[in-house]
Amino acid sequence: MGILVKDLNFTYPGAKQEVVKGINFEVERGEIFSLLGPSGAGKSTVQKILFGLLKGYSGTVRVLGRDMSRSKPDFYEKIGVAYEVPNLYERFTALENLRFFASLYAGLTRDPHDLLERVGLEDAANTRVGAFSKGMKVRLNFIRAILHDPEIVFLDEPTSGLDPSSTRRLKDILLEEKQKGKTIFLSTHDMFAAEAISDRVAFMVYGFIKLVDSPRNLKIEWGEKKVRVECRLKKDLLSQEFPVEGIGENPAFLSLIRENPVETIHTQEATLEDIFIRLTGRELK
Amino acid sequence: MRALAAIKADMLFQYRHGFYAVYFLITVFYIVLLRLLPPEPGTFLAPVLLFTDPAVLGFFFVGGLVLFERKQNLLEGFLVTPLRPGEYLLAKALSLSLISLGTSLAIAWLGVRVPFNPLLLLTGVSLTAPIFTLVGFTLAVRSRTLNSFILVSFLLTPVFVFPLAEYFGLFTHPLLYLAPGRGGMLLLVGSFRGISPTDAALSTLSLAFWVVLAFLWAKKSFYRYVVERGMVSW
Repeated sequence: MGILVKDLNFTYPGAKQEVVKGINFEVERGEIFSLLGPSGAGKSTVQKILFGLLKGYSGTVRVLGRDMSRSKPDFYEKIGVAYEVPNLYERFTALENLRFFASLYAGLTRDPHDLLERVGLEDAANTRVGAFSKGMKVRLNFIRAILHDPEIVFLDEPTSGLDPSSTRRLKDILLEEKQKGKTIFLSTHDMFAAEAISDRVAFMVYGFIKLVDSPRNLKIEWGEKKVRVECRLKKDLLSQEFPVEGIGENPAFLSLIRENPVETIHTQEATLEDIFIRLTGRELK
Repeated sequence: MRALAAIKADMLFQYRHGFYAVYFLITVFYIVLLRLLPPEPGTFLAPVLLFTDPAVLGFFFVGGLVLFERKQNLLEGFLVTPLRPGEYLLAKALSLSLISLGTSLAIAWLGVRVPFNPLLLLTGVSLTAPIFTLVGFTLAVRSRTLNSFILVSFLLTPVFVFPLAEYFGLFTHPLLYLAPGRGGMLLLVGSFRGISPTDAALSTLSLAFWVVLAFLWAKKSFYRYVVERGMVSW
């Protein structure tokens, strides 16, 4: 088991209201799991508990088999964390940053040059981070988090500030990590990022987890079971919807696609954002 | 190993943020000042400079360091690495004390034209500097703003004032033995004018006691203000 959270409640010292209200979830080893929710939902608090930074919770939290209420500093040899706002020495070069952070770990660390190349920063290895763009900092911060080959990688808003090609590279690296059996825990309000890569997502709002499932199941379950066909009729675009059930024997559907040039055919799945709004009454942003 | 890595990183960090340049200029200024004075007042003033310099600079520079680290979100990042709070604090205290040691020796050698006992001087500086660095850290993480840090720093004034007042012959009291700065002052004065072995031993013990106390206080503050409450940004 990668992560086990059972009946977790948390109230900040001195605060009256609970910020985490009886949540439950499990993350298997080798799974990519996303905690989706708007800011203020309690995602950061859950992460801090998973990192062993907040101890005064009630319930059970185990990460890599360790009880997080009594975690020891050597736990950090096993996890890698990339926060949304990069944690980097601005006046050190990219390489100096990676070498320093690598020196904090007892075990072997990956070759910083290889990692820099993976995220397209090889030419910036000897440039000070202060001169980096936001996206470059995010990429460097990401490889800093996987430098020591951690068992679990925690990423907070991983695509924030990244362009589409960098996002794709990041996704490829994460899928590779998953192949190696590593667990990935994402925390985000970006449902595209979550949908594209996650094995399962959890919807969190107002301190509760409303649901945990795979994006595919959610989209099928919550989507309308219809097929939309768009055909070109001279200059007009004809758009028609048909029930998915019995589509192969539906005469209207069959004659439409037989007699007209089809431009698109799509099943009408719901997006995660639609489902989130319908379930929680809140938008993700 | 981790502590060593942290010390190296702190030194590079301080260098890149211009701390060494500032120390260099202050040291040159002190040396020139002492050179311009006739030998007698120079020798009288030297322990005062050597006492206040590492103390004041260690205190304010650690405040600056924490400020820069917060701006770069470094503290937040350290919390999820194997670096222990004790190692983090050790690196701060040692890296800043090293600069103090270097400048004190330079001031004593080049600025004061009388022989001095380097062992007493090194002991005095290397045990005084960490006290102020660690207390500075404690106050820096507790302060919500830079201004409030500067305000609470006035709380430290007595620590400077009493040993100096005693040195200037303004007053003395047996309880002053317990004051955190006094041991440092006695050792520094002793390095130029001699000191009884008992006084040297007591001063060293008293300084060591305050170093340990300051370290424990800083560590507690680290847990309470950095780990538990998250960073308060300036």
